[in-house]
Amino acid sequence: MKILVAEDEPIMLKTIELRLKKDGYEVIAVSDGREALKQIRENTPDLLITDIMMPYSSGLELVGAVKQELASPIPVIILSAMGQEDVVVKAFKLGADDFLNKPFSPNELSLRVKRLFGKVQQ
Amino acid sequence: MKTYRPILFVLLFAVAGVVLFLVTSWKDSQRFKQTQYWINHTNEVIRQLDVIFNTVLAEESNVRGYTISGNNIFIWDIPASNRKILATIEHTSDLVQNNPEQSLRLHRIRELVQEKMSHHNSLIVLKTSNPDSARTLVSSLYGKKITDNLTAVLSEMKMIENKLLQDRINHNKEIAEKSFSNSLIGALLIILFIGILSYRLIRDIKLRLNAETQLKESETRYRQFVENAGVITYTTDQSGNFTFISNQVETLTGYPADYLTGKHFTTLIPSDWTPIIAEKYYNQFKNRIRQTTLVFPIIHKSSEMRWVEQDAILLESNNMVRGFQCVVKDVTERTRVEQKLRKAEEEKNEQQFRIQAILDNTPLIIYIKDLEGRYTLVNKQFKEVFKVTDEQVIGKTLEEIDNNENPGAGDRYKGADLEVIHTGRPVELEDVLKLDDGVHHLLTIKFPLFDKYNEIFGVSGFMKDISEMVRYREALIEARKAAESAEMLQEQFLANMSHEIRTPMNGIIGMSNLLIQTPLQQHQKEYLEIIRASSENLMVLINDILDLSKIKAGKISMEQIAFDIDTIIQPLIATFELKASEKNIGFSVSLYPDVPRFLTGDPYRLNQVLNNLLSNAFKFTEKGFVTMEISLHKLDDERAWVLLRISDSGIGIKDEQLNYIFESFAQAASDTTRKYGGTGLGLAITKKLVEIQDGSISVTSQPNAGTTFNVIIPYGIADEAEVTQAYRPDVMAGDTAHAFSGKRVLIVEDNEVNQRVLQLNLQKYNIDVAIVGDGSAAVDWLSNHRDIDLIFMDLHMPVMDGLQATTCIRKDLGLTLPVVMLTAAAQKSEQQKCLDAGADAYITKPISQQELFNCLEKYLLNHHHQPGYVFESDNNSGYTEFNIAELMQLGDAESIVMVYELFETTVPAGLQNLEEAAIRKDWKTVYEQAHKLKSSLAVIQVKGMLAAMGTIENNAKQGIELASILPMIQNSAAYIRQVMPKIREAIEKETASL
Repeated sequence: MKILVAEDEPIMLKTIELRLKKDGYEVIAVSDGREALKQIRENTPDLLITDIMMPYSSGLELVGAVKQELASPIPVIILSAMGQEDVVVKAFKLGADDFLNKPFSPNELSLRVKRLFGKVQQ
Repeated sequence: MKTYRPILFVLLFAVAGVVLFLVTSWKDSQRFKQTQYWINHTNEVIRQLDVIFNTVLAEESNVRGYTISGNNIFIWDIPASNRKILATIEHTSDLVQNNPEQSLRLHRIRELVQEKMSHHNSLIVLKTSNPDSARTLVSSLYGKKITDNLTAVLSEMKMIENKLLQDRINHNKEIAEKSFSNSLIGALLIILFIGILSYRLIRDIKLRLNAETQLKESETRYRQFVENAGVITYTTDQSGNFTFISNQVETLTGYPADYLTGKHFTTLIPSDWTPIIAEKYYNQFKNRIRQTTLVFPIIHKSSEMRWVEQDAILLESNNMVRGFQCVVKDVTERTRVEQKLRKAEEEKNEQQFRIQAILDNTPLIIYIKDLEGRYTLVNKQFKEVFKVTDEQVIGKTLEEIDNNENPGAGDRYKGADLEVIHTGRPVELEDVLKLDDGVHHLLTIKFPLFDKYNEIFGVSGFMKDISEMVRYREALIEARKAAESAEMLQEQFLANMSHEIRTPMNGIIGMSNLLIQTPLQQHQKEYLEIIRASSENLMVLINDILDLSKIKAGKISMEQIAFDIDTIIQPLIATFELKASEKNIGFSVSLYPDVPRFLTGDPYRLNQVLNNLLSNAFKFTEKGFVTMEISLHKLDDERAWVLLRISDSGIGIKDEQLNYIFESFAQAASDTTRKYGGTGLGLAITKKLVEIQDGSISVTSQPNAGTTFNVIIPYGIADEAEVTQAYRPDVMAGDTAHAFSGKRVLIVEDNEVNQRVLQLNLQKYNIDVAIVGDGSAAVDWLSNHRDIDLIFMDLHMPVMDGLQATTCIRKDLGLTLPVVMLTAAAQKSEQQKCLDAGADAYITKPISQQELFNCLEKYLLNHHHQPGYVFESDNNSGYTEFNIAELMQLGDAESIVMVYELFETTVPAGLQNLEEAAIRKDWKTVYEQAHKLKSSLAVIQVKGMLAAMGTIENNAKQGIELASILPMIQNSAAYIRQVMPKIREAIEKETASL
């Protein structure tokens, strides 16, 4: 399983990367929207985990690109901060599957990832 | 005078000196005169001798001429010459008669002169007769021989006389010298005496001058003394007319002395005193009493009355009374003082009398005891109540007069006395005493009596018979008990009412919520909105009334549990941020890093207070912002006073209304309710809630500018370990709806409407729902179906209620699945019972969508009951400033250290960027950078900094309180430098055990 993680904050990115690798996933870690879009096109990940506020291209644009433009079934988990609930609502409207408010527990992320993959498999 | 005797003496000496000097001078002059006589005398003799000699020579020469010439002219006056010579000799003879030697020589001279004359006669005769013989005779040496002899004798005589003259001149000179020295000595002596005299005189004059000055001074002093003493002296004649008065009389009487002299002394006496005084002095006069002293008034010129003391002494001479000599002293002041003292004494007696009257007529029993406990004063009441007399009590102690009818009472009163003496403070004592006329309740207040040195000298007691009052009090207590039970009934009634109203309300609200999600016409939707809004208002009102009545009845109990303040704040932020975005106003929350995260207190009430105040702020704010600041007001070893400040830029409150806003049903203005809704109970409840938490609330406001509420509540300081066992509501709110699908939930509820509402709500999340109607049915159902994830259990049900059913599920069936209790009565006691019975949580009906969602998220997603999915975050207790639980979830040391090192470089760099942006006032970058830092801090959570970044992000975004941003950044930078080593240490410690 290949997971694309887009997050401009290096600590967060590293933490997610390490945690997911521990679960045995392949992780592609990128720190801006442009790189993420490139990876989606070239590497077709099985799951996208993306931050909302990122340079070049925001998380919302990514969701839009994946769900609307590519019409891809790849599940998307949004990483948001407190006070960005309105953006989260927008993301859901665009087709996002789940969201996590920062700060979140890496274990919870792992759990949600597992659940999403399970659902997709069903 | 003694002083003059030496002067007189010296003067006498001086006079004697002068006399002596005069006498000596006179004597000297006499002697000088005599000597001078003898000198003249000698000179005369010498001159006579020369005359003799010259005349003889001239005669000789004439005779010779005649002899030679024969001319008669030569001998013409010879006879005269002879007579002259003889006369001269006679005269000389007289002169030298007292000198025999010279007389003898003169006699020889006479003889020689006569011989010469005879010779001459012979010649003349011869010439005429015999000129030749005459010539021969002339030629003979006879004539010459006579002349030579005469010359020799004369020379001898002259020589002797010259010698005599010389002696006399010498003698005279001696006398003159002696006289001069005598004069000199005399003059010196006189000068000396005059000198001594002058010295003595000057000295005496000086002494006298000094003495006079001293005398003058002492006289002045004496006069002043007399004047100061106000003493006046005067004399009168026999009939009492002033004959002399000292000048000071004017000060005393106002009349000058001149004016009074000659007047009768009664001029100055008031007419009513005149006979008395006149009689006194008449008596003295008549009986010849030497001295009398009398005090009487006189009239001053200004008509003022003065008091004088007069000593009158009889003046007597020749055994006759001539008048009076009087000394008068002004004693007005003294008399006044004496009169005042007399008056004061009278007043004191009067006062004493009054106090005694008060003491005797007061209904209080009053007594005073000395330090040994002996009575020194008791009032009438005392004597009447205890049936004693002064003689039986005064000077006795309580033991001595105690009749022992009330065993133990004596010791109690004595104990109280000792306490008063010991502490110096009043002591109150209520006691029951059996007296002759029955049982009395007596209230005694004992207090110390202090003397002027502030030392206790006795104890006084006031005793009041309060039997009536006690009976009244007991009646009051009875009445109060009755009232309390009535109030309890009322409370019960309210609780029941609330329960009864809630149940149907649950149906109304639930169904409205469901109905609104079905396809409806626009106007139907509007009607439905109104129904829903009204129902919700009604629920708020019911809850508020219930709360307030409980608080007022003192029924509300405060929790004392450990909780995490973040878990209170975060859901509030989530809730109100939505509200803020709906109303399009700013909302910022600052949780200052110095506020301890883990506190002990009542988290529910804290939540309620914040919720009320925030709701209030949002309700009355149409534009601008609402801010919530949570800071530390004060800190000691055990407690933290947390300051909650909620400010808004809303409509504000007028000054005159500020005082009333905390009262029930008192909104800022009567039209406020219509415009903004609400019950007007929120602030009243808030205030009560704050106060029962020992906190305080205050408000400042400006109409149309905004309102700020400050709440200070003291909390205990907890640690994380305590918190995990206590209050830990879910932090993660969010839409995880999709995660619930396929879950199975059992609803145990007797009310069909509520069953339906809950069922429909759950089905929205694709949850499979099973329903049973009571507890026992639930137990039966669960015996057959184990594939269930969650149970919602109503509390009040027929057959078997929720508590019994839960107990059964846990104990009998041994199931650990989560059970959430549905309660109507929002009463703590029942909720606690739920948890005690084994339920995991409870929800108060009517159930809000949010609550239900939270509940589902917690119990269906987090898999609390599935081993292996329990969060490990609780293991990191002990780090109060940061939380590395999330980081530790990475599991392996390598990863953890890798992330930490990233943190160590990223965060300070990020802070520096942030600071630079803030200095540039580039708020957009500040916002973005703060947001990013917030993310950086999500893994290694430095709590104080996280809150600061949140605030900075928010303020920068909304452009509020920009001035505070830079200091906040700088504080955060300092803070992180301080915390960083601790984090590293913690990580090293934690990874070591992996």
